[in-house]
Amino acid sequence: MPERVTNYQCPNCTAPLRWDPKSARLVCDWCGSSFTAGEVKDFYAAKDAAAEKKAEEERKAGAQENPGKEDARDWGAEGEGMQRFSCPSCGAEILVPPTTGATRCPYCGNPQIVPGQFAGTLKPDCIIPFKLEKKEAVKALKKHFKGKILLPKAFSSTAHIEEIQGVYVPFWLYDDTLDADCLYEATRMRTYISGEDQVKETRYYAVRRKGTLVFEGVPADASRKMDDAYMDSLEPYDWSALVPFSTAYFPGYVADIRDVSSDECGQRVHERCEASAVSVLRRDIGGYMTVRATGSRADIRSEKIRYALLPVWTLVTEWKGKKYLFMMNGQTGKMVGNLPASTGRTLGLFTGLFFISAAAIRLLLMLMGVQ
Amino acid sequence: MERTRHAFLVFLLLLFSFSVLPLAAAVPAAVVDDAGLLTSSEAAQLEEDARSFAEATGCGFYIMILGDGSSARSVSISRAADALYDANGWGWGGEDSGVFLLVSLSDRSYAYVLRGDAEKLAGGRMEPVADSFAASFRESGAYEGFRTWLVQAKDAYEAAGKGDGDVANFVTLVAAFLIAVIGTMAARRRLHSVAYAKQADAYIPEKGCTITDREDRYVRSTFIRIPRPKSSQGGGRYAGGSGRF
Repeated sequence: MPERVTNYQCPNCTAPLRWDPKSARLVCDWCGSSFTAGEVKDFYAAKDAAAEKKAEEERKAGAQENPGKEDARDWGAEGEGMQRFSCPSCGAEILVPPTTGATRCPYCGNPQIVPGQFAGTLKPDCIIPFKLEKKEAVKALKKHFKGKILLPKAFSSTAHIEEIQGVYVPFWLYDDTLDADCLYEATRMRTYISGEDQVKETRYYAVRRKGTLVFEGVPADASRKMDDAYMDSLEPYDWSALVPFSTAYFPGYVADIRDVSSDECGQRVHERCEASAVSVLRRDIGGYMTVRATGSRADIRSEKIRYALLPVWTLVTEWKGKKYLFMMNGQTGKMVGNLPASTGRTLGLFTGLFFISAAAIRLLLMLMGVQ
Repeated sequence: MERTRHAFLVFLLLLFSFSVLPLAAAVPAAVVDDAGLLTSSEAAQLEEDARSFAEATGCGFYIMILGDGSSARSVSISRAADALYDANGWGWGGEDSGVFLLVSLSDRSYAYVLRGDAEKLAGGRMEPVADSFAASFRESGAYEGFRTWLVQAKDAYEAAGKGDGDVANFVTLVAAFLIAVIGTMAARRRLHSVAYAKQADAYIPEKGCTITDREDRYVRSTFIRIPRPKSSQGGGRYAGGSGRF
């Protein structure tokens, strides 16, 4: 079904186009031409429309309920739950998971886009195009290794990047308004002399703060295969870079479609907002020695929910037979990923700190006259 | 009545100080027997012991015996001892450290003063020494009593120093262990950069928070009463004790 697939080729030489984060244009590495996303989208409007129409027809025919079963029947068990399509450039048959919306042909390397995945209600509202290139992700990973004294030396020198991929990850962005009613227990202390005694008085107060808080664009990833903790750690994004969705930003990257509903993600977002309300209203309380949150009640209204694709570089390294996953925010360059600890270095650091601090404390005590 | 007694005492102290100070101008004697209770050889031996203990520990050990004519009542003998310590220019080191025993034969009372580094003996360490002195004085005579005092006071001073050393070692080990644990945990935490977000503060725009109601209500109070440490007979720097034999 080649008509289901769109691949953006250079209008001048038909070579595959690639999204260049630096120039924010689609470039052709063969003839050197470059185009804006709008130009390419206009150029391929007819092709996109045909592909989307075909996908819609298939969806109406019921194939969309389980697209892979029908399409990948010939592939046997391996094709179970997968989508099959032919590369429009080389004709090779490609299998992709049902949540994949854009990929690259493993035979000819041409970027492939499956517009049917981004049609109708599945069409994202907006997208942040990649701003950072692959080489910047590699550079950021090396920087991520620096300054970690417990990281095994061999890890940074021998662990090689097995896989690196730019992925547009589906996110729900929530614009919430929250009416919060928070309770705190606060204390004030004073010391005074009463007769022969020194008296320490602790006065307890019940403090209440009510307020309305507005949240703009709280993100929650809408992909089951993406680890929520990784996605949370990549925050924040700069929402000013959001642009209306277009598949023209896809060439050169993988794109996933959402498979988690906004209702499912909403609960976690609301919990984050409520926790923020407690801490933000806490900052309004002053003049006390201690303040402790004792309870809160929040009414949350989701004013607007947007479906967005956000750029993420994923890097996989292998060391001693174990895979380590790192991810980089494709807009800001923030790199996250857990690293292994060297047992020897950990013991060495502990021992060193122990003896150095013991010597320093002893010296200090001696200077204070304690032998 | 109290004021008269204090005035009398101060007069006695001044009189005694002027009579003793010229003699001790060069090197203050560590053992002053104003009552003639000790033989000259006993006094010399105690003097030698006191000096050798002082050189060994860096803390002076002093004894003064007041005769029947120099009365100091038990209620004020502590203050008398405190004043005499200063009047005689006693003490070792920058803090004028010393342990001074004043004995009044007229009312069979004694008082001791702890100064400088010797103040670490306050709080129970000197009571057994004083008890031993009183018992030995009664049962074995003056010389043995004072000898017991000097030896046990020196031992108590050294033991207190050793105790301080033990505490210092313990504090050092515990603090160093905690620093090492905290430092190592901090270094390990740097290896972990993946975590769930708990809050969404970053997504509150400027002026995105409006406080609609504030209420601060007093609920209750709790009180902790700690008895104030009592200064001995009005002397702020005094540390020591007194008794009878």
